[in-house]
Amino acid sequence: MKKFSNLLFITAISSLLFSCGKTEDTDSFGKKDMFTNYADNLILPAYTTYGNSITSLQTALSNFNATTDLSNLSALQSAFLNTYAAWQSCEIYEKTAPADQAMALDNTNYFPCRADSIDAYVSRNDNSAASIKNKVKSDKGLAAIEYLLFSRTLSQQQILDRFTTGPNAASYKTYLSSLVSNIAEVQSSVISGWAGYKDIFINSLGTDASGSFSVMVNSIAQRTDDFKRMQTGTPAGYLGNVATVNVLPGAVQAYYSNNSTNYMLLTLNNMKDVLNGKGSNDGKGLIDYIRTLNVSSTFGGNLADDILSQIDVCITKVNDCAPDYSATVVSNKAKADALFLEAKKLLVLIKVDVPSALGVSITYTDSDGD
Amino acid sequence: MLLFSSARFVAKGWVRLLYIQPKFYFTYEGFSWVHPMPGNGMFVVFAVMILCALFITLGLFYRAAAAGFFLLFTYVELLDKTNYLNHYYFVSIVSMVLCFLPANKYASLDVRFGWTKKVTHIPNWCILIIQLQIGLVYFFAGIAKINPDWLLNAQPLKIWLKSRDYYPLIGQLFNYEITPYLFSWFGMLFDVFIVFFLWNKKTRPFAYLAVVVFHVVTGHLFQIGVFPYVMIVATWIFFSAEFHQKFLSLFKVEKDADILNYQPSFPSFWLTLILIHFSIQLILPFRYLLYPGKLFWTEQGYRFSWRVMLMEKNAYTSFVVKDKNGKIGEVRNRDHLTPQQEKQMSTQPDMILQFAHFLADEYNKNKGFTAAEVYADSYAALNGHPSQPFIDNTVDLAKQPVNFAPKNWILPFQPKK
Repeated sequence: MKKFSNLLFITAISSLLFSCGKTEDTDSFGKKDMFTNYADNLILPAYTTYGNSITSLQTALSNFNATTDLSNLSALQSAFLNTYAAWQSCEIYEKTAPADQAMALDNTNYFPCRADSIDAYVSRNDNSAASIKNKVKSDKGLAAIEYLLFSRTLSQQQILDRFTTGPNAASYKTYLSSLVSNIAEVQSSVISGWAGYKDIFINSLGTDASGSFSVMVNSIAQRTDDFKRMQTGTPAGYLGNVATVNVLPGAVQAYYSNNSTNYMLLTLNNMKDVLNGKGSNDGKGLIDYIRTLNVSSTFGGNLADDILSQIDVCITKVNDCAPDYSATVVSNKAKADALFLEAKKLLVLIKVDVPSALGVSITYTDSDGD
Repeated sequence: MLLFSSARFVAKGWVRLLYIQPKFYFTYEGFSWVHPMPGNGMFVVFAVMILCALFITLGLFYRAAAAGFFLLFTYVELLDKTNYLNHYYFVSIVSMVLCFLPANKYASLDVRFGWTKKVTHIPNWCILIIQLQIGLVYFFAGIAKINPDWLLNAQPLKIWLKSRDYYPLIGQLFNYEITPYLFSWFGMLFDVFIVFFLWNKKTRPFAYLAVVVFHVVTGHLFQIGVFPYVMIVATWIFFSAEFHQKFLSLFKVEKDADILNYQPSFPSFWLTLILIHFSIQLILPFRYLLYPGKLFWTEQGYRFSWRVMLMEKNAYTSFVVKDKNGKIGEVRNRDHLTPQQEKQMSTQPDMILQFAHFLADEYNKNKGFTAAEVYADSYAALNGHPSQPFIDNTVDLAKQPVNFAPKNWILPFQPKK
């Protein structure tokens, strides 16, 4: 009985302290440092780099609009590919509040785009910047810009003709400009959103839905989900986790510029850096935190190590499918299947094991299906 | 002994409880994914429920109000399984019991208006029922904690406490290896024994302090809503009549000089009813013994058993619908479910099955499938064990019956290697 009341007493005292205390960073790991590292060393630089690439893209676009010739087309194309590549490092932050609120993913990188629908809008002169905002995700974003600027069948001259002598040439130009303004606008609203959100982000150390652990895990899980589903699964004919005969080579990311596997590699390498907390310098990341928890994964090893090595396995499988995933799903489907299988294993680690180890929930809504 | 307390205090004890109710209502409405009832209809339900709660408190039209509250509250609870919470169940049970108790016989408006005879003393069993019910809640919550995960691995507290080590001052404690074990063992001992300490007059003040501290601490640490406050108030029932009388005098209710005893008609009928009720209450939590496999994994017989805060379970469950004509469709759970529903569904096999049946109907009716088959691909992780396949993805769930038979399509749990 004595012991019992002693215990009570201790608990009572601690609960008192607990209610009166001020918020100080008391954890041994330095969670606040980690989230500060995420904000300053990874997230903001990623969006800034992406934003700078859009600025260059806009310059190239106005040159192209002023003088629509082959050399300005290639300058525009290469500026666009920089933007497209830079985005691959931003998408993983999709479920952080500023990006989520700007609906950055839906506005920027849904694929495949609907070429016929875009052509129809162009022919109707439905091409204003204001109208782009309200169009569905498959009619806008990087994939739509890519469709206008690249082709697997047309020559550079034929692509140029689209904007000069072809039917609705002027409307194509306007649609293109509107697409670029739209992604620029979304990028700047994400950046301005972060100005207000950063303090909240680095101070929300809890595991509830608005806590930054939950935000980061959900965001990375969403990215992994999209990698599995959209980048690897759908083109290879997977519906959910079931294989069908409907292989969709045109559904790969960056189909027209043929960068599908390049961007898969960017995605995976970026994911590794993000988990490690590695930006321009190597700070604290989720993997470091998970390592302190010392939990084992379904593969029997340490969860932190197994996640990183599973990403490496995926990288190997992507390389097996390089350089053109849309060709691989047709000619060498077994390699695509192997990649899909490994992507799915990675997803289970990130979507089930990680939340379990951290005590957070997966709450993100599926951005698919409109 | 029979002078123990007066039923009026029961009502008084619940007053606070029922004043907290509106909070539930808000939460409920805020998360109004509760089936797509016509919006205003639900508002009426909640308004009437609040009114009933108020009437119970005032002791006005007491029995009708208690019955109304019980029916409405239970109705709302029954709307959606994914909203199941042990303390809602607790409220339902207690409000049901209240319908049958003479809790309007003392300081109530029913008495003031002369609609019911005043009574100052009620038989002990009236109080005992509620005490026993609360005792069962704690006791079962306690014995549910006697399992290897909880006691030997300190799971899931190890996960939960560790993730809260940034809390001021006590946060550091959560980083010690021993802390989750202390919490686990203390929690178990508390739940199992607290009711005995509450019963004993000598230990009661300490025990009540323990109740308050325990619930305040857990309430702060974990997202468990109003449950702690429900219990803090509900345990007043263990206090003496004198205590409640003092409390009542704050409301200018004076003590009666006369002793007016309450005598229910048909005592043996009531006794039988009480026995049946508690037999069910005693047996229900053990029904899981009828099922094979690990309870926390299969969750067959998990609910309605006062198992509180025992699991950290995460799952990822996706569905594919096929038919014999070769049609195939991937299901986006979010097209049909709310985030909360999806989260609950993906970890609980009975809901996975219900959803699969819903999908089969949906695809047959609206998507042109014939005799749709539904397959689930699911992975789950429980209490710090690594993730593993959860549902047999070769089984057509549309053909599995929704009933209480063991679900043999749940893959067996493999403990940590």
